[in-house]
Amino acid sequence: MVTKTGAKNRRAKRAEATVEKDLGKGLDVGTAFIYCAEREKGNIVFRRQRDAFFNIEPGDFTKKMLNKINVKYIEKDGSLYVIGDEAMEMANIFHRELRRPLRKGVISPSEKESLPMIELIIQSVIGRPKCKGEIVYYSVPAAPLDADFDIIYHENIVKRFLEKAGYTPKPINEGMGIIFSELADEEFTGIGISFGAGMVNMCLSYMSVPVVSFSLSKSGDWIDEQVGIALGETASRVCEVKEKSLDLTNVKTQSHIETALAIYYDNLINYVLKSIKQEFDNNPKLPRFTKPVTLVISGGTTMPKGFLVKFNKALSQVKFPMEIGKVKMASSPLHAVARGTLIAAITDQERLEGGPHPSV
Amino acid sequence: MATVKDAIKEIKLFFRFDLGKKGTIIQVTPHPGEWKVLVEATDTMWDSTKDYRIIHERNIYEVDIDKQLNIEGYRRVGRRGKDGEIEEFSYARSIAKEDRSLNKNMVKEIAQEIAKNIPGGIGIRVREKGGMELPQTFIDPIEETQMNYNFDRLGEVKKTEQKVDKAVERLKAFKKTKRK
Repeated sequence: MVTKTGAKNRRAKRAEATVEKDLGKGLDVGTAFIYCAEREKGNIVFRRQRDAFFNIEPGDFTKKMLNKINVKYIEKDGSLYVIGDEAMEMANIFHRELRRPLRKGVISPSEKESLPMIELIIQSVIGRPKCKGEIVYYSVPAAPLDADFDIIYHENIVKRFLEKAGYTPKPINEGMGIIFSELADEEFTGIGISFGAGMVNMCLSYMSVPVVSFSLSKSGDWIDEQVGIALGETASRVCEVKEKSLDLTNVKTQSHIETALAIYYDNLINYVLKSIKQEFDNNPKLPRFTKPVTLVISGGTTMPKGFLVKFNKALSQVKFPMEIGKVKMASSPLHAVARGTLIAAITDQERLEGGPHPSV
Repeated sequence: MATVKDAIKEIKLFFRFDLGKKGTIIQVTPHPGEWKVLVEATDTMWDSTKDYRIIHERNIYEVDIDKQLNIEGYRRVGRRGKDGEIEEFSYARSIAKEDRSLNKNMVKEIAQEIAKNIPGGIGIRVREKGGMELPQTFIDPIEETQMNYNFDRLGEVKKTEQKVDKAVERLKAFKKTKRK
């Protein structure tokens, strides 16, 4: 029902929108990184922040040094926490593990001590809203198949952080974010798989409607941990090697860490495909697809060279109940989820304003 | 239209975030235009010697929630005694008697949701004077904390020439079609 008050509010919001441009933001809250996507004169601008801490001995001299070399830190309860990429570098120098506030894709209820820091980091990445109640879509994992933990807690904590910052937050399934980002030409029909740090998220969408979605608790961090245990290295060190130099097409000539990484990559890909097949086979509501379905993969764990080749090889050994057509890597695997959340936010924002924004 | 599952989820959120306590759904009764839900919640007191709150009393609340998921009201209708039995529960019992017309699917749906909420895995168990074992409750604090930091905005910036207009237009068209 359209009420007078409602119309008045909408007019006021529209007037506000003509002053501020490019409304709507997307946020990918991942275990390893937080990505924010927003528009600037119609083009997308991404912000990337590693969500990790490393605590060091506090002191005025230390703070001066950190300021001088432009290292970001938070001082809380007498402790000094270096945050971001520099935290990882320091952890590797001191051969200690990083502190990660998110584990397996979600904020752990036991991480209450670091909640204010997570809030500060999220708000500092996303910045201030361009207008009161600007819409932000943020990614959330689907319910896990192989683990039992609270997704609702995570979803609501992030929602609270964003509301406090002045946004209108809306959650969106991570796999659906990939579909929105990559499958507009396929009428938002297909399979999106995000290989993140903490989890693998999968979503099967039919005409923009999520049909099957779930997450798995093994992904990049699991690989790092397993390799670390096998070789007596810290997971942070393994992660650094994985991010900087791993080439899955040519592991024979590489280090023992890289060889072990390749073994666990095979294991992970097979595990994911087997789980997807099981879910599809057991789902009576699966739609009948008349055309082959496109599959898109994305996420930081897919970044090593040769991942797609390994994935395709494993996929050829599995028979899904629908025909798989194209298998492709997202146009920008690290940004696909954030881009998808941005598309969802702009769509909602423009529907609210009643038409395309003048700046688009 | 919201389902009973949505109503249960909403009430759990209401208890967790609005009342600041964990609510365990013990009964859902459908009424015209609304559900009446009985929730067992732990009212806590601060224990200054430890970094958590311990349970003081387990109360039974009745919550009215309409089909648009608006919480219309809630009231305390009973409490669980130290012997584990529910006291002052007469009003809630009368509601239970009305519950004759539930269809099979709804019974199943409610049972599944309630089963998920049975306490046991939540926190560590602590023993209180009187011999009854009660679960410890962790609170979700987002406390205002004094922090110093040396940044305004965070994140490495990557500017692109990517556009999203086409995807936005297509998604809008889909949403319009779905509305019709």
